[in-house]
Amino acid sequence: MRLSLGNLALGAMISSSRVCIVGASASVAESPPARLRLALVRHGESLNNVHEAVSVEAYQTGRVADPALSPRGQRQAELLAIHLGGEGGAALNLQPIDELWVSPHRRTLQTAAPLAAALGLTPLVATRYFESGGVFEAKDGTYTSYHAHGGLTRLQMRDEFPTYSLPDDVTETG
Amino acid sequence: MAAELWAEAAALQWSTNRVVIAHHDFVCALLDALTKREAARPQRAPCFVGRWSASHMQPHRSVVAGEHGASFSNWRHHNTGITVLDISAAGHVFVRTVNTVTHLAAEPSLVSGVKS
Repeated sequence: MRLSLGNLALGAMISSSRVCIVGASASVAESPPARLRLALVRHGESLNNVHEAVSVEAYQTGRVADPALSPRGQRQAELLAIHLGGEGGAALNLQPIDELWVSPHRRTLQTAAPLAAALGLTPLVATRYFESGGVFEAKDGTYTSYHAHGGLTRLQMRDEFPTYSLPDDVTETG
Repeated sequence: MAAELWAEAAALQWSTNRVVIAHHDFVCALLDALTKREAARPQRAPCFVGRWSASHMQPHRSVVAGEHGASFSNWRHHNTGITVLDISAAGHVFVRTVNTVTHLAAEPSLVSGVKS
């Protein structure tokens, strides 16, 4: 992409890798078309995943509605941050990473934390990036019926993830 | 969700790189929704043209074939598996990589979340 100083004076604004032309007389050589590049990342291993890997019985007995990451999940999240913040992100043509979005579940919020720190980004919590079925509990532990669980409340989320940006629909009831 | 992303892509003035930390079923369902429409287009090949196309990886075979319906079973994602896709302003979807876990390669015992 080539811009002359003369063109810049005519109103080309440059921000990192982005170029937005605001002057009609500015010229940009072979600018690729704008696109939204998404890196969809599954959360690190949760404690429910650990139970699930053992047996159905272990899962039904040990499952909680909004599990935390397991120690292995924490390690996965740390390596993910190193990877996307460094050569891995470059290899995937993800740099610079402009935005970091995260679902409002504890395991995703925890997965995002090392990456946010590595990138210096504020994680944007979005309730639209939700798990199928949402946060739920099995009624009476029978797994024959379910009821919705509010998940982390706004206060809890603020307390555990103080640097995250929360939408209005994360409320005091979760 | 897919419709929102298409609308966002159509309104972009410059390219944006976004990381989304989400869930297995969410990612699978979103991929189904995004690729189903792409597969239904008369021309199934990704629409990127010119020299940029050379730098793109080949899409996952099942994405091009596009014969599947909406189902979580069409995709697999390890814990912290990374799937990268582009949505063009015209709405075309190009899957660049699916479920890569190269960051876990040095410690294979860390790879989890998909039953064999």
